[in-house]
Amino acid sequence: MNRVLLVEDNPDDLELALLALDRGSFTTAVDVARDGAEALDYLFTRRPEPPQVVLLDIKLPLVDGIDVLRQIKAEPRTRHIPVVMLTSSAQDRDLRACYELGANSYIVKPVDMEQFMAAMNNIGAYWLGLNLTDPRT
Amino acid sequence: MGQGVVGVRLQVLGVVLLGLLVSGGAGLLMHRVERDGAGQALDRRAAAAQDAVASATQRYVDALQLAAGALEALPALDADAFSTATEPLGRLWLPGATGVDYVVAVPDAGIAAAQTAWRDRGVPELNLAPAPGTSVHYFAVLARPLDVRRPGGPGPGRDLAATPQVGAAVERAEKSGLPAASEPYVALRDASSSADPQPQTVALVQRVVERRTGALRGYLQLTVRVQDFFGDTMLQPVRELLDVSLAAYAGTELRTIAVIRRSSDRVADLRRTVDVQVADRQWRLRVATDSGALVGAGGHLDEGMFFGGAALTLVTALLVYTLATSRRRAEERVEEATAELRAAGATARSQATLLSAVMDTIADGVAVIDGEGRAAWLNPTARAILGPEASQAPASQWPELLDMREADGVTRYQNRSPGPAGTETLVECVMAGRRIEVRVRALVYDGEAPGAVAVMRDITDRHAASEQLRSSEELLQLLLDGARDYAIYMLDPDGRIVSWSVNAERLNGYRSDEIIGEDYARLFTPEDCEAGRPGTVLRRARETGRAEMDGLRVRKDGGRFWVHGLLTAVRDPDGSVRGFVNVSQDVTARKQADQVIERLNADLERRVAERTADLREANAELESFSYSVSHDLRAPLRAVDGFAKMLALDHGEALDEQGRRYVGRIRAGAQQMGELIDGLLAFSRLQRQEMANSRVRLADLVAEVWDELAVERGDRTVELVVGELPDALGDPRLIRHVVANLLGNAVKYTRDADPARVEVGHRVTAGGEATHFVRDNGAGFDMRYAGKLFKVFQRLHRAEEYEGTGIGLALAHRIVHRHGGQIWADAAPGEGATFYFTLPAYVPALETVS
Repeated sequence: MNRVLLVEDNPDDLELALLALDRGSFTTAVDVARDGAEALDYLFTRRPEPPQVVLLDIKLPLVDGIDVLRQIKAEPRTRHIPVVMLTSSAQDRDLRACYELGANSYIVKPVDMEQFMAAMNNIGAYWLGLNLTDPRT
Repeated sequence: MGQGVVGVRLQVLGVVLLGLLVSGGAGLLMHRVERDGAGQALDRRAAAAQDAVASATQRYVDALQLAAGALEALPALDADAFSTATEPLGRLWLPGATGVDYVVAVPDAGIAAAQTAWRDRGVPELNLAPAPGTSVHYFAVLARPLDVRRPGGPGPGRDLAATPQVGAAVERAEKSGLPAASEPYVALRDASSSADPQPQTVALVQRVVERRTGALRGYLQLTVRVQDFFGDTMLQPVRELLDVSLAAYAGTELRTIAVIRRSSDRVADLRRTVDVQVADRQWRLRVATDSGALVGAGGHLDEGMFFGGAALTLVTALLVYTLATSRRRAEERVEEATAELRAAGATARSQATLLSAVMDTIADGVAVIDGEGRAAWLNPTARAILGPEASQAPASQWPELLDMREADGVTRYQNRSPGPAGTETLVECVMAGRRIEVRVRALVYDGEAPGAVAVMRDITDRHAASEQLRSSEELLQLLLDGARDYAIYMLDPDGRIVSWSVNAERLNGYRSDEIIGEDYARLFTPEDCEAGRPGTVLRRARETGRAEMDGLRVRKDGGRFWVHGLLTAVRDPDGSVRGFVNVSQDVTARKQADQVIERLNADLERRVAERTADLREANAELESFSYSVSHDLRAPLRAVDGFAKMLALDHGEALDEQGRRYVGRIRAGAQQMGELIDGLLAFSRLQRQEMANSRVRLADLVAEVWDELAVERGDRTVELVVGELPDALGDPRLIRHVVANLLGNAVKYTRDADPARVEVGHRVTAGGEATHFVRDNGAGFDMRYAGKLFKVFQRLHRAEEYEGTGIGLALAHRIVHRHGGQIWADAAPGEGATFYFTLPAYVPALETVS
């Protein structure tokens, strides 16, 4: 079963993202974290089966998305997990920081829902279709 | 005959009787007359002897003075020069002269140096032997013996001060500048003489000065053994004198210095004493004889009374005898005069030799001018000064020939008469560019016609030197006076003030009598003194030649002021530091102004820093604001569009046509607002963005953008005509926005044109600036609204006709302006539009890669 961790605090965006993933051309289980702290707790403390991909909003309460990204990519056990950054704005500053920290992709959430759904579908096809596994196992 | 004999006899008898009578009466009278006659004869002899001694001694003095003059004329004095200058003395007939010496005065401390110096000047054997008991020595450093009969004599090196008589004469000669004669003394070489009295010597001394400066060089001494001199001098005048002697004062004692005594059994019964002036002293000449030795004195007439006729015969015989002797005496007089004349001729010849030697060597020109203005005689220097032409011409023509001018160099020289005989005139004039001092002495020439001697001296160099000195002094004074703001003073090598200018007094407050001799550290502040600054500055000036100093100084009244000063070391030719010159300026006003400027600058910098901080803060706020706009405003739009989409997807069937259209309008509105937000962000970002400055290939840019617009063109056919496009200078990314916007508009607004045509090109305006244009044959617009064209959110077409945000042209306008260019449009509704813009032209050398 494909597993995706979606980290998003905005309830509208969360619901639309879930809708978009649900309407995608693949089946997946989506775990949701509502802020950065919860995401870290999920990944490092609760530690269920690791997700095939993390969709990470940048602007989050408590611990922001860039910090979460840094910790995922600093930790050997989670480093291999692809992280796709989701953001509302195309700020050069954020873009550069994310790629430097090891983000695998970066999506400016479009206003147009059709474009958003297409983007989500592409992410699923690309990252889940490859069926990446933990390199240590 | 008998009558004659009788007559004679009678006559004789008469004569005898008469003679006896007369003789008897006149015998006594005759005796007295005879004695008177002898006395007068002796007077004449004494006068002749006096003349002889006076003129002879004068000759020695003249010789001494001429030799001294020759020495003065020489530029440098050494053994060779002395030898040359005194050589004529050896040729003169100067009986009794034993030697001539050049003498220098040397203090105790200078003996070694003098010995070295004179050894270097050609007296290698010189050994200066100072006399004890005196602090100033008169060393004879150069000597020429003159006594041919007794060669040898003392060499150089002896101290004349050892002979007090000579020492005294040297001092008198120095004081008076005239020849001095010493008191008589016994020369060393005669000390052992057995003659009684011992031969006496007199020294004649003349001082020698430096001709140009008048400074004392030394002395010339001529030593004369008086007996030898006297014996020779008295050869002629003393023939009939028994006893002649010469005496001079030695202290208060009148000492006989020369004697001529005839060995005779006659006893002198007549004496005369006369004085003779010798240089600055008087000698006494004594003559004595017996009256019988003198011609014209019979002596026995008075006794003839006892011999009667014999006496008559004797009287007759005596008369005949008297006649005969008077003839002989006349002959003797002629002989005597001839001999005197011969002697005078010889003297004149030798003097002429000396004179011509001197005249040939001296640096002064001498001209003798006769009563008719002819140059009777010129010495070589005079010929050189006058030149060949003037030398030949009469003196009266010299002013014209030589273009002679008065000393001022302007006024033409007027020939002046020399004035009455004996007067001297000194004129300075300029001849042929040289400055000549002329001393004209009128004299009696050839007995009657007036003439003159002119002595010419070239003083060009001396004059130039003094002119130069005066002008440099004037210049210095001018500088000092002009430098009112500069305190100038001098320091000795230890930093003590040795001179103090008026301006230094004005600046520092001290009068010169208060500060001269003080350490210049007194002008520094106590703090500077404690830090050792006065010494540091002095040391630096000593080591490097100069030291600049800025700092506070203290005035006499305690007030402080800022100076900028320069201390310059003054060095002697040998490189040792003789002192320092300080030139300093009061820069308090400048310093205060500097401080004000510094304060203002600091203030300005602080304000700039504050403004910069403010600006940075504002920028940061703006950035976070735009971040919020892009992030937070778009999120709700996404929700609007997203849920509207989901509504349409999942509940589309539940809605009627109207409802579905409303959902579409909701989504269109949300997306339009998204675009507006993106456009606004781009617009605001442009203001903050840094601009590159590099080559922009507009032709390539147009081609690329046109390709990208393929989507917008769709299946329409739009013709693109691209003319020549020169490269521009600017930020390629931003200019690409402009090109994209203008071409995009052209494609958009030609939507209804057929055929659609877009033209891109450039034209060169009068100012040489390239103006680019994008022209289309589309919808165009009304130029009345052209003012709104480049404003944000302003649109000239309805949204349902032509979609758009109203940001694109505002953005293009801002980009062109940031490049220093202009953008404008020309259009008419339905006739298309042309957009023009200018950009800086690309010049290869200006390219900078950023």
